[in-house]
Amino acid sequence: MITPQITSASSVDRRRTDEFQRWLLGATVVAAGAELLILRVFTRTAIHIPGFADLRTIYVPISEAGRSAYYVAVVLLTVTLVLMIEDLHRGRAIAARAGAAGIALFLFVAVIARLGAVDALALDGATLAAVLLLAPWALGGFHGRSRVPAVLLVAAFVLAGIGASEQALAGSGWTLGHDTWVALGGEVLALGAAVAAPLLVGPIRNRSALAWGVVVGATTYAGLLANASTVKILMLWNFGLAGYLPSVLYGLAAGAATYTIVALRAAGQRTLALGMALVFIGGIGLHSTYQTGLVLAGFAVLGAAEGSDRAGSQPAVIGGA
Amino acid sequence: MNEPRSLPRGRKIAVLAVMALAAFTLRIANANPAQSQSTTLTAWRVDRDPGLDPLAGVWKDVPPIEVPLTAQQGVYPLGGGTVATVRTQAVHYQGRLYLRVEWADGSHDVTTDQVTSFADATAVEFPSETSSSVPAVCMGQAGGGVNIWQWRADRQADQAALNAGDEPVVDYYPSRSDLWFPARAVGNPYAAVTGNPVQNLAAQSFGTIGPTREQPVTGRAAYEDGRWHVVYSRSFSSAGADQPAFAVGDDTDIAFAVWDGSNGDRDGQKQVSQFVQMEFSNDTATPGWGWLPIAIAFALFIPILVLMVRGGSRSP
Repeated sequence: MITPQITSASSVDRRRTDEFQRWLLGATVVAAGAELLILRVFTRTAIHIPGFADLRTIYVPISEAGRSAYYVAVVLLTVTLVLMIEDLHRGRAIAARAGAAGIALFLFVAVIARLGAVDALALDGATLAAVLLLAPWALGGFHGRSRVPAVLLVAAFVLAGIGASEQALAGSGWTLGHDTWVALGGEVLALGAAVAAPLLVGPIRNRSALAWGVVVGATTYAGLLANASTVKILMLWNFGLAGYLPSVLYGLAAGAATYTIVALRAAGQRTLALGMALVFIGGIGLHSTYQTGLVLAGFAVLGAAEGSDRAGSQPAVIGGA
Repeated sequence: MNEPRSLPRGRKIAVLAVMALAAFTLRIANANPAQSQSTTLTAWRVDRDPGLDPLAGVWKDVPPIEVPLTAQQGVYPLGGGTVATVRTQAVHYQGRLYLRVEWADGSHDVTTDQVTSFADATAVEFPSETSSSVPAVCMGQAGGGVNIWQWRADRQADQAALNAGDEPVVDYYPSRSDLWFPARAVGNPYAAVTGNPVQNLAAQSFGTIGPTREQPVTGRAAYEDGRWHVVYSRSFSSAGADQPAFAVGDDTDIAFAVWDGSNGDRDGQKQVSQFVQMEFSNDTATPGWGWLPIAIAFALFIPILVLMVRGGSRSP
């Protein structure tokens, strides 16, 4: 996992990483990715396979593997977030400490919400506050054009948080009537972030990454053309995207996001790749504290990415935090 | 510049083992530490029969969820939009699901005795197979059907009138045999006198909805203080392939629809929700011991893991 630490606000290489924690972050991405593909996509799609009842002997163990991946991802993510709080808190910069406070607030409210002590409105409000507290840290590591996808990602999640809070308010009899434009705005920003994500990589040179992007993008587009209702509801439940916009945009976004993650990894910017993967796997839907936690961890990693990736594959510890 | 922090090999293995144990404990206990941030309806276990009375005291202890509705805009006739949300609760008692739906409606529309009058109604929709599957929310799709339970105010009012000895429309027929009720004689479900205001329906896309052969869903409604309160009830066991079976521990999906008769709502002119998730819990609505594995994991495993990582990560 990446443990961003700030020794001074002006320091370029201001974060330090830890080999084991980097591994922990990678393991979280792998477990969450497995959970996404098996539990959130496969088990929700397999039911439509004609003659599905005959395939139950295969379906049950695969589904169980997805469920196990979920629990592993939850444990990895929780440890990751706790370690992030500690590391960000050690930083001297206000952005780092605000980020630590944001993650700590979210984690605390998520736990007491699970125990039934607070309601959905408090949880959604804490999520929104956590993103706003973490945003300066997450965006601080980007400059120039590479800042565009990061800003769009954070803005998309903020709008999603506002939308979720509005829905929770509706449960208390308050209706502000912004639901549609908030949801549509969040969707536009999220797609924009994905389409702009290749700006993080620079000129397209990696053919393997390009091939992955084309395959995933074309598969998404073909799925939307062949069975829009299923693919759209999968997008809604997994990523918080309702499918308002033309299908080709979703194919483009899926392809661009995949290309970016693979290309970043191939270019040695593994930390940035992991951060982007966490945010994309979590989605903007605020579906559960698990998925929201993935996004917050991703934002924290994005803020640390530039320094640690610049340090290359050798984890660097800078200064005496 | 310090050396990179790294864990000794033995400690790495120990950390991984504790993490695996934490995940295994949570899995075995089926204790999900994450809290849903989307709308999830939980069917809680209750220890006394709730019955079909929507105003029964048992519902006071069951936490409701509020589900947003929107006007149906997918297929003609379009419309709706006068009811913003439904409040819903669910419990189960001895293998039977009880589902309560409540919404604000200032007009009490219970008759359909003119071509321009329409009744209030509500419906809930499940995927035909119990799982978190994804049929199209509007009537399902081929290979991914939906099961719909619809309660209508006019059906309940008609039944009440019959029970009171009043014919709802015609004062006198020379005979009550099917000869005088041809629609009933040919099996028109809308003409059948079942004593049940709830109809059990199945669909696999637009234009395919129809009543199921079995009608295992019962229900009853009450109108009080400008709000409809409707209770549905059905056994966990499935009455057919197009209807889901339920079990404690299952997750499924559920969607809601409401018709406001005085707004002219009928058929597709209604307000609908998206699917929300529904889970069948073995816990009672009042907190039990289900939180214990989660509390243990957070209170024990997580601090241990953090200490193990931190304790061994300092370079000399």
